[in-house]
Amino acid sequence: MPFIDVNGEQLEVDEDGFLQDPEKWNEDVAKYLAKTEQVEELTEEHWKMVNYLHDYFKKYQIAPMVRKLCKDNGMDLKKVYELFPTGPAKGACKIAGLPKPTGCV
Amino acid sequence: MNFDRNEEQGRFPQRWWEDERLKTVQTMDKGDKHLVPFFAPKIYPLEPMDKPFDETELESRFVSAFARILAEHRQLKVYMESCVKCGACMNACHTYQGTGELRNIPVMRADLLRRYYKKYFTTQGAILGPIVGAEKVTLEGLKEMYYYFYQCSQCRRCSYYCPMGIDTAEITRYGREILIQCGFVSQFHWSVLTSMWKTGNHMVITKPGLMDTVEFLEEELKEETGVDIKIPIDEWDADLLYNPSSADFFAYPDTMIGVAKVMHAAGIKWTISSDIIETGNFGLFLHENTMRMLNKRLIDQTFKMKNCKEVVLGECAHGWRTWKMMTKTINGEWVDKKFHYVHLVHKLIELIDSGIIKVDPSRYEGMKVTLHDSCNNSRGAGIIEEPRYVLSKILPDGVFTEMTPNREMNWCCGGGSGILWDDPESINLRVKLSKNKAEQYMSVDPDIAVVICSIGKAHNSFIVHEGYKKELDHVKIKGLVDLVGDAIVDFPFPAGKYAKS
Repeated sequence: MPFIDVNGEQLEVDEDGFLQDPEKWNEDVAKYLAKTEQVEELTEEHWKMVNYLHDYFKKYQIAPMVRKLCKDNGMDLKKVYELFPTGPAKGACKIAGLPKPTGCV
Repeated sequence: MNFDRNEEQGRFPQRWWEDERLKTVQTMDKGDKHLVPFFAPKIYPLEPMDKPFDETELESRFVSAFARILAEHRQLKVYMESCVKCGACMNACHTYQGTGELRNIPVMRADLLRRYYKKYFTTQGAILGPIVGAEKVTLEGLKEMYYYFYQCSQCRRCSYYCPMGIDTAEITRYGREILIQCGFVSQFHWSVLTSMWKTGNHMVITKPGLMDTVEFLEEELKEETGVDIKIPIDEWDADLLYNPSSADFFAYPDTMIGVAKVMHAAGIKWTISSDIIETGNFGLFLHENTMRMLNKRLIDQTFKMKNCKEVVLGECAHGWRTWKMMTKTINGEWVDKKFHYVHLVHKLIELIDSGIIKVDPSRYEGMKVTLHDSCNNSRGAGIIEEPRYVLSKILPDGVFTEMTPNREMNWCCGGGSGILWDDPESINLRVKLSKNKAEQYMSVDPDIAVVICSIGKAHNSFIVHEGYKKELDHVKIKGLVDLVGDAIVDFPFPAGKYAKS
């Protein structure tokens, strides 16, 4: 398994760079992961989405439905793609420290 | 790494395509990420294996796996022996047409396995070796085999053209099974199977997560129709068990909403079991024993139901093919004695024809709708005319347009057998694989494309919204039941869903 180095701490990630242990996630890790997903700077809107995803995952151990994500944050899908060019399932989930979504998506 | 096996083994005679092939093999390790084999950390639960992967035992592992499959599946021996190299499959394969790589011609791909068959299971191959095209197993050879076997989407279009009746999809399936026993597997397929073992579905949906998602869908239904429509979970006294595809709870909510509308309008007491919210069965693509065990989960669950008379399988093409075509062979004749298992499209025909749900075709006036025949539905399990019949009932005249070719000759979308890798390197490959499908869409130019398959929905959405975005971004990918649900006269038509963007 590859590792990433955030502020001297070694964190395990999978082949696609998704964090293996969501417990180790923090703001610095999010900033580091954002750079790998074509997000240069995390704005307030980015943080709103990222924190929402992380809290949802903590509560239910899954990523929310894409439509729910948009609705609860008051954004449409186009806006989500503007914020996260690699998409909600890949880009946003990765930055929020969620594991990679598997299956037919 | 030295891929130049020609010099080493002094192969004779030099074949015309060798140069081309070596070129691709030499670039293999640098190219598409998912096409570099992933060595499974441990093979269990796919196969119990007490030692980690070891190069020295590659040959014995390979030969024993191959021998077992040949003994269990006589058709593989026939496929290995009977190819006459006529090349009829060449123009039938979208992978070859998209990538232009010679090894992607079905016959050439099958030859990657056939060379080992000749070496280890035929007398002339054992004696004459390279003269008759026989080769010894090497790590590089298996990597090459992996590289091409995971580009085949097992769509079976070539088998319709084969004069000898060779089913290349089966060769791919068994080839992948042998590769797994040697420690090679695609990371994507591996992660899907791991999720399946962990949670019983591909999307790693936990029960609390499922309940929250269902609650959200019920709110959406209320908003859309003004009626309280329930999506019942784990109600064991229900009459009908619906087995959805787990992707419907993540990426395709309209399909789940459509099913809920249909069941509510028909007044059926139905339920979903939280233990099996997955019709899909990736065992079909790469490992038969896994397919058998995953199928058994569904059987066990249905046997828990008290009053259940009918099990309806959702919009998942390979799941339906596994169930319809494989279950009796791999799980035993007895399984469909107790319950009546049907596909969702059969249930829709029954409900529409008997007048239990009433639909209003005029709602789709002015739209252009086409149907993508998923490989595993049409070529795999014979669901060809059924969706067309349902569409003829819910669409006004002149709205439905066929793509050419269609039915069992339809082009695969390119995502078959779970080729859904999304890292930047593999995306280029997926665009190439979907070239033929995209051309079909461009010539028809539909507003809505109906796809009755979760992998198909994922990959067709990729074609229209990412791969060929410039030309096709306006196309909406929908399931069949999405359209049926929105055509029911009891509920208002959600025009926003179909608005042109």
